[in-house]
Amino acid sequence: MERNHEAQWVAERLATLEPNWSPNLASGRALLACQLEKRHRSLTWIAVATATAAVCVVLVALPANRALAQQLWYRFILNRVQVVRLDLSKLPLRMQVTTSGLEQHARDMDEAERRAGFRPDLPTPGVLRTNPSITITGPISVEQTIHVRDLESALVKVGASDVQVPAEWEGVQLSTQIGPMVELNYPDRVRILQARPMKLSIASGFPLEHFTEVAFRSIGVSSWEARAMAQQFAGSPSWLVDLPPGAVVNIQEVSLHARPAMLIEEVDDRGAVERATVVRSTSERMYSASSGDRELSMKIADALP
Amino acid sequence: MAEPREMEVSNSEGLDAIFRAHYERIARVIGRVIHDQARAEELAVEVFLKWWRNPQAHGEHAEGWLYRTAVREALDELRRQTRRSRFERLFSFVRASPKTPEHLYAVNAEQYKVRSVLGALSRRHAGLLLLWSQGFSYQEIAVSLAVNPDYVGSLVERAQEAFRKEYLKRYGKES
Repeated sequence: MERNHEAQWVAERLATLEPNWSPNLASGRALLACQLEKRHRSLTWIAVATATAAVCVVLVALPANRALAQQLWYRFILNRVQVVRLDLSKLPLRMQVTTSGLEQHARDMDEAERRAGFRPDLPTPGVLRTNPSITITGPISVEQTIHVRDLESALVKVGASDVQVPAEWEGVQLSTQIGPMVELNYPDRVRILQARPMKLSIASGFPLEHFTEVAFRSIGVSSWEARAMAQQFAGSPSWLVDLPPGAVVNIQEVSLHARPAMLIEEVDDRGAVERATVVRSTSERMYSASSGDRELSMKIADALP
Repeated sequence: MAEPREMEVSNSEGLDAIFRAHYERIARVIGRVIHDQARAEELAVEVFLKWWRNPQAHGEHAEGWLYRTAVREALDELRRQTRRSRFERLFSFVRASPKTPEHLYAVNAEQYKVRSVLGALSRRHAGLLLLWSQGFSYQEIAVSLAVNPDYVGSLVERAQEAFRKEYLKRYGKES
């Protein structure tokens, strides 16, 4: 076939594919915002939203009228993960989050180590074929202040009129240090997050269990459940990952390296698994491995130290 | 295609800017391959999300990366659809309900044929033809598919030839 004729003939065939619709920028942007929000939710396992997750976890009592240096501190390392079907962002605490920079890209593992203060672990060779892009987040410092009236208002709002908030809690500050966290991004939305365990400090004398119970009640947890959760938490403080009740997820405890890990599957409107995240921890590191495939996420989490 | 620009990409403003600049054109490129508008727009959004998550794709090569990924996403989706329909045909003997007139029409429509042929071509040939038919200049095609600009003309010609041969092999005439 003569060259120009061939080009024209092919062009005519391909012209039939011209869409008879126009892309809708507004709905595209709405969909983009929705997907970004989902991504933000995914990051809650370790990243930015840990700030809210840490609210109930990290209780550093700093009575306003006493100097920090005068406090006797109990320090804990949080290397246990617990998922709660609550929206901890609703806690009536005034929060201030400070960070040395939310996201910084690192060229290689050496730079990541310099920025994060620890060398990120990679899965054993062969599990993931490409090199990841590396992002460092934090460290994040969360400072919160208890205001008795805020707590009381929240308790009234949820009908917990039986709960009394001690007046001496007024002005008490809560704080925690989280991260730095390293995010390794691979193609096909495969992501590994890791951080050293969060550090929890509690001023001696502050009633951790009581406060935790009141805090849970203020966001609508029932009396007996709040008490049980508070007892468990005070006995063995853990990192609480919050999953709002409306979030459609499957949560399952699995075993990796002979230790328990958490498998969290996000499900789309049709019931299909959109994203599977495995959260596990060691005494030195907390890990989160996520992808669109459950088996792959498990395999990656298993291939980490 | 607009001139490549350096973008501040580590924030959502950067994403928003590039999304506004390229979304419609990318959705149309994908829409050539994927008949369903909703799915085509979904894939277009996915392209931008992938770009945002991949810092190595940011900077002056961002546009090329976006169009290259859009073409790949569209062709992958086309192949997935083809696999599904092939699988469905295997089980068609147990299907009680007859094909609908719409289905019969779609199967015979020229669009269906052209998409089938594109799906059978190599990814490079299909990509070249998609961008060429969308009105991309040779320079733009070179940037988008990461090929030498000097060779784009001959690459497009080879892709056209491959298309015609595959079309004739499948459908037997030039209609």
